[in-house]
Amino acid sequence: MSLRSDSAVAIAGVGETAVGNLPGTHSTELYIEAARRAIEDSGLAKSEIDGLLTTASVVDDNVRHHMVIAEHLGLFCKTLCDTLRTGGAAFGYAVQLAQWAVQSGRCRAVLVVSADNLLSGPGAGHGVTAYTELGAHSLEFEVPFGGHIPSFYALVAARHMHEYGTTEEQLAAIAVACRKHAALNPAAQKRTPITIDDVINSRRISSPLKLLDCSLISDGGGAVIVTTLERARDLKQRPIRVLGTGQAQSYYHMGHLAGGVGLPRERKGEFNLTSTVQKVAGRDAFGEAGITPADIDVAEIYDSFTITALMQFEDLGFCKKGEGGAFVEGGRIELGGALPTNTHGGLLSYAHPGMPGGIFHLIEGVRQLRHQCGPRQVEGAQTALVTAVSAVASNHSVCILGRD
Amino acid sequence: MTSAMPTIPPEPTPLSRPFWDACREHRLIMQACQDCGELTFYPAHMCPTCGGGHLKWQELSGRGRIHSVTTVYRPAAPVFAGSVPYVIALVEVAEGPIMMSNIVGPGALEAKIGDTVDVVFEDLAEVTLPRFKLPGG
Repeated sequence: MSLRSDSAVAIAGVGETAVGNLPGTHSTELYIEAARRAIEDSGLAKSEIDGLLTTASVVDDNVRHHMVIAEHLGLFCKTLCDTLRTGGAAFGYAVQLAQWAVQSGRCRAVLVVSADNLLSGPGAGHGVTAYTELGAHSLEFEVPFGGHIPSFYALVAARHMHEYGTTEEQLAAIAVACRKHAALNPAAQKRTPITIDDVINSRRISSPLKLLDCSLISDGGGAVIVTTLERARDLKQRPIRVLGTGQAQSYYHMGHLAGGVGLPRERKGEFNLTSTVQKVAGRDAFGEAGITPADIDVAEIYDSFTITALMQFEDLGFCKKGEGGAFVEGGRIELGGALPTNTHGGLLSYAHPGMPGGIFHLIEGVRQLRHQCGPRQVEGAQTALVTAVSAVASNHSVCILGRD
Repeated sequence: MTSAMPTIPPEPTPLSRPFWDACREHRLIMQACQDCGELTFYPAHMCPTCGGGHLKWQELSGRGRIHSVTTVYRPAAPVFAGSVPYVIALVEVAEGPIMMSNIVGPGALEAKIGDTVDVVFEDLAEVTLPRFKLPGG
């Protein structure tokens, strides 16, 4: 451990709403429900919360989103309060900011909360378009050519297959593992087991990605409370320590991402479409935690698409670059395998309400280390890795958790 | 010839206006850094490679190579629904930068990484888009 124990940070509470299709709900309502549940789970008095970080909403955004949520919660004076706009990775950056605020003594307890009604708000079939219209991709140099998130990740997958021989079956193995775990989770949106063939034969979205390579679109939200380990030890739940965090961000336009634009000449090729800055986020998180990938008992890997998860096994050092396909085969990432991954079902089968997507990975990581996961519990889990990625393989965050 | 795939038209800015105006004239231009020689795309206020502030528009050969490619079956928005399946590619132009575009014309659905392509300008009511075709396509 590189952190002194007196500055150690823990997650003291977690909470989430139901997920799936929740017609009639409102984004703010989901925010408040998730927050209330996390506060209740922790046993912390609301008056002790002096930090609030939200991640906005696709459906009901406001330039002062964090203030709206603070008012609903009755959190008058905060020493850290903001809306993070880093997409699906925003909650990961929020946890790192919360960690720093608590470590430095600027905050006593920070509430990180994220929710949206991306399925019922825009209506089925319109969530991706709503996200695009917000400027999720370049409206001048990408959207005119008919691009959307699945097609951009398809460009990444096609390139990975070209460079390393990765197969559609290997990508499918990730979707199969997530669904297998979701089948054990009553809260998951999709629970019917699927096979490799089911993935391969599902509707084509953008080659090589099929429907079952793509995450769900959902309503729902989640929240976590970050405080000092010392304070957390006096609360209701076993504290789960934040051992290390890391973040790294690259680019918006896919051409810039692929070309490593702006890198010094001697570093060209270090990052490209299939080799992301998650390497840097992982290096920092593992460095701070003082452990290595081999020490991780359970992994909650951001899985907006199967290829998103596959490349992270490489970039985080679980296997070499180009070997992600072989790594995910043969049940290695399933419960009972060497690295059980996305034990709640992931974005592929649990839920993906947009900005909040990955917060469920974090909540699951906490619950796994509390040993509260019932039939999907990784026995004796002591360490968990939680990641997030947004803006098509460009915004990355890593959080390593440990059982106290 | 079939009619060109429609689009959600870009809204040019003062910075990008020369690029779109050149497309209207069926010329592909990008900015070249007068300090380090690197070409930049999309239009920029400074050279993102060397930081130099002297960028000058330069006409390109129109030749490129497919860096990655996907065939889209689920349209991005209703305006594209009549065009599926359509092909999106990252094209590395001969002069260096990588740009997003479409592969159109004969053989587009079979386009693969590494294929050589040539720019083709498709005139729509609101804008002329630089798309690419396979040789002989």
